[in-house]
Amino acid sequence: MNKTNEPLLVIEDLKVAFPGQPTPVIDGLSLTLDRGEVLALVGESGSGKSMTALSLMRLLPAGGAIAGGRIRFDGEDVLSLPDRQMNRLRGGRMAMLFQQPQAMLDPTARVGTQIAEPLRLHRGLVRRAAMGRVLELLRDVGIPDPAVRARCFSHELSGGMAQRVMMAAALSGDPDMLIADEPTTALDVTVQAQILRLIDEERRKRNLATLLITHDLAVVAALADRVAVMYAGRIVEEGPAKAVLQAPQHPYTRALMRCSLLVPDPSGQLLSIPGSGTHARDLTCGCRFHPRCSAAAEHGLAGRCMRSEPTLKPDPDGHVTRCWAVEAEKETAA
Amino acid sequence: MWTRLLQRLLILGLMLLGVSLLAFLVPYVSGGDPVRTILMSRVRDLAVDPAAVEAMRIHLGLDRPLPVQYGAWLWQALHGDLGYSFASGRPVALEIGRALGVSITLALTALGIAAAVAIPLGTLAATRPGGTVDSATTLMVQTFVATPEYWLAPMGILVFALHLGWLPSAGWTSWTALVLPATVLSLRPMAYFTQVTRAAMMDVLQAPYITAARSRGLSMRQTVMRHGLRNGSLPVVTFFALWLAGLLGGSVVIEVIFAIPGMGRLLYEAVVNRDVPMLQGGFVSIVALSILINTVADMLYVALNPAVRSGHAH
Repeated sequence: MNKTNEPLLVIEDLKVAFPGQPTPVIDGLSLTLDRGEVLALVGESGSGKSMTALSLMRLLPAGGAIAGGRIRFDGEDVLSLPDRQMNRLRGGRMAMLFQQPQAMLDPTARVGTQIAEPLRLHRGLVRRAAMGRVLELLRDVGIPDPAVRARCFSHELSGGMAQRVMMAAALSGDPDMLIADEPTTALDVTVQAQILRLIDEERRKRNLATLLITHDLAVVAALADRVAVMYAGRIVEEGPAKAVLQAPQHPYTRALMRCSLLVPDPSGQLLSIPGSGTHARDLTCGCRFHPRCSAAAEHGLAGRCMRSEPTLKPDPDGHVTRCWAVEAEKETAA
Repeated sequence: MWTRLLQRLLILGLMLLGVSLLAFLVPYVSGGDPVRTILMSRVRDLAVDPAAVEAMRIHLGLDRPLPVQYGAWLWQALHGDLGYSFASGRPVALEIGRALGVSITLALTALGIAAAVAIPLGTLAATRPGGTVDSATTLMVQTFVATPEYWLAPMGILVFALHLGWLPSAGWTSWTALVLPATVLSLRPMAYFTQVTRAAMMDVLQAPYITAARSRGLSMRQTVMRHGLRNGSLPVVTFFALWLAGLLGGSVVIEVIFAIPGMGRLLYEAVVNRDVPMLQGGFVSIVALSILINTVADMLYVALNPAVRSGHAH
């Protein structure tokens, strides 16, 4: 295809808003994702990760609307595509995994029928051929006895099994990009690793661009090439996974890392970030993290952080951060 | 599965027994002397001969103690014999069988029309809440619910039978005679079915598996057809059964206006005539049939919903 040198997916200045809510749930988000690359989108619930994923598919819940920005997928302007072509993109070129795999399957339809849908819609297979392919896919995603399983209903599957089925359905249209929205959050710990390994194997085999949404930094460390950290609808830090995990810059990322270690502090308490991010979006000025931020006070920047919002400032190595304190530190170092 | 079915059948049997007792007693506790009524209607004389009344009482077996009467009646009823009508002298079971056939035909036709209109309409309304179709549907529902049959039926006769001459005005002679009463009868259930479908479909369309289906590339229309309709029309099955049971003896107005020899009219006349065996037999038959219908509906519901089938309802 090679129309341009631009990455497979380019998101520019995306803004998603729900009418009735004063501030957008996603504000000025820009990201890129290339073929074969794994980009992890990290942040606590409500930070806008899932909304980002659903925007890419143009499947925002009722009321939500894309209020600005551009999404380009393989050179095509996703936001201006007519419905018919958008349907061809969904399942055919971009596929999605969700958080609650069992709820994502129609309880009254057999699993095999649902996996076969992209095959029939996008690959033009007739029923019989599609069913043959469904069995292959089920075997690929590690489901024993595919012929029996294909005739199951969602309630007859365990969570891990259901997520494997969703994976088979996602792969059946032979997509270029996989969006995995917290694919392991609802699963047992033992199953989580299996599903992650499956995702990793398949994306390697198929050179899939993968947008992995998670709040689990261990998952990021294991799979991601790059990480973007979201807070209250904005990206606050982004960069190569190694750089971000080894030397997190933004106070929010650092706090996340400390929390995920689950190591008690000297007083025997587990660490947590004070306050909640739920209403951070409603802040009218200043850095959205400043009410919960310890760095602001440490650097004597409280006034600045409260008054104006920092922008994303890059490092020479492509690691970008949105923080006044980090900027000030770099200035002193230079 | 089988133990559940067996349990169910046992409960149904007990229920029927209770209902039969009620059915047997109701005509007695409602006051008045059936023997007097029969004789008065035959001789058209207010002062009937007390000796004749007594003889009639013995002839009909009404002189025996109530428990004995009940036992005998129940025993015969179990063998399909519901006694003889006081009014016409014909076998109750035969009369009821004939009337039930008519009423079931009428009710099924009416509910069929209702469901055939309501399911697509409710679905369409649910896909665009607040849209033109939805608003028009709400208006239609309100109109149909508020329009009484005893007004609509004569209007229908006036327009389609008398003015246009397309359909017969009354009677039970050919299928054309079914069209007008069934249509009038269908409007109220149609309104309710539409509301139920709309509400259920609104829920279903919010379900995660709808988003997942869209993410596989199905258009909204394909998604509704493949994953919406079946889930969304489940509650209609239950409502259909409730209405069917209700209409069996409950379409009195329509049956009287259109001169249809159905169950409603039969029972209405039995009440007027104090026809005790007819009332008892009719009541028991309708309740038994209602129970049967609801059992079938439950089984159908299970067949349509695999999660219930294996006890995983959520």
